[in-house]
Amino acid sequence: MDILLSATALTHLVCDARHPLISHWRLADEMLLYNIGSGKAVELIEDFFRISGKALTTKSRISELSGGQKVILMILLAIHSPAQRILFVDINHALDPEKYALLIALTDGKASGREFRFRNRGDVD
Amino acid sequence: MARLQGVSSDSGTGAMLIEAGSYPIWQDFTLWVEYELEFRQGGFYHLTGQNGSGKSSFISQLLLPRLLALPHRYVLYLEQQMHLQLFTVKAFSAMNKANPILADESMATQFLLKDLKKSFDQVPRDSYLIMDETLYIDSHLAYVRQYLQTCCIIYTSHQSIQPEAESIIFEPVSVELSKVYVRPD
Repeated sequence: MDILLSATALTHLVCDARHPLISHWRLADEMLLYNIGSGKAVELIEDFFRISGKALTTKSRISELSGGQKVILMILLAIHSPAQRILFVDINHALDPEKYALLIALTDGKASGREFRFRNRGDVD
Repeated sequence: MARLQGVSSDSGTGAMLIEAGSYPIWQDFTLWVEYELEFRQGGFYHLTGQNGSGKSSFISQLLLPRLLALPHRYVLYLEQQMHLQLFTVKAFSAMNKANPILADESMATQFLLKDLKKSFDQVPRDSYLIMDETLYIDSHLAYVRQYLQTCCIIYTSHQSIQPEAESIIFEPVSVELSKVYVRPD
């Protein structure tokens, strides 16, 4: 069964590495979709630069990012969003080991009171 | 510039070559191919490097245009984050009354591989399978090794390391430049 139909997906923000972005336009537009205010933009952009080495602004066209950079951005948007329960799907396939470890460490740091779950397609609920 | 070595007038058999040089891929990104790259029929190549090093850009902006410009060959490209590609494949298969109906990426990619085999069985030609972070690499490799043994396989993956594959390294020199070379034995 497609993981999006699982009970977990009905209660979590689902972030799927196979299609990481929604707006395909500016970072500011994607931030709106995640309900992230401008006050969090600086921290988000700093985290992205620290992990990917690429500088962004809120006006950057996120469609021009590489596939892996889109996944990194998706994860950071989710982490900085107000969502309390987040399900990450197939992110280990999309990230090199170094960046995967950095992002896992970041979720550990932001985990207070929140739930982060990591699944791959084919996992049994 | 790419050229085909040893091309015959009928089947176009030979190796795909990417000559050494500097290739501006995007406005602010260049790939520097240190030595000539050769993609042979029956060959198996792993493009490897960290996120953002230019692997997918190499495929979409350098390799694919040159492959598609040459006649008499089959090219199957399973792109990274292929959800949009999947919709097209599902629609195509539905129009051709495929059974079973394609439900997910695994079924869609199997459909494409079987279509490649069908074409090859009818008219054998040089074939290229390019998999960019495809989820089901191991099963696809098993299928190709059984039914399309002369196919040139080129893949990227952070998870699946195939020891017998020839590694082509994408090494960032700066944010705007990556060096591309074959891993020494």
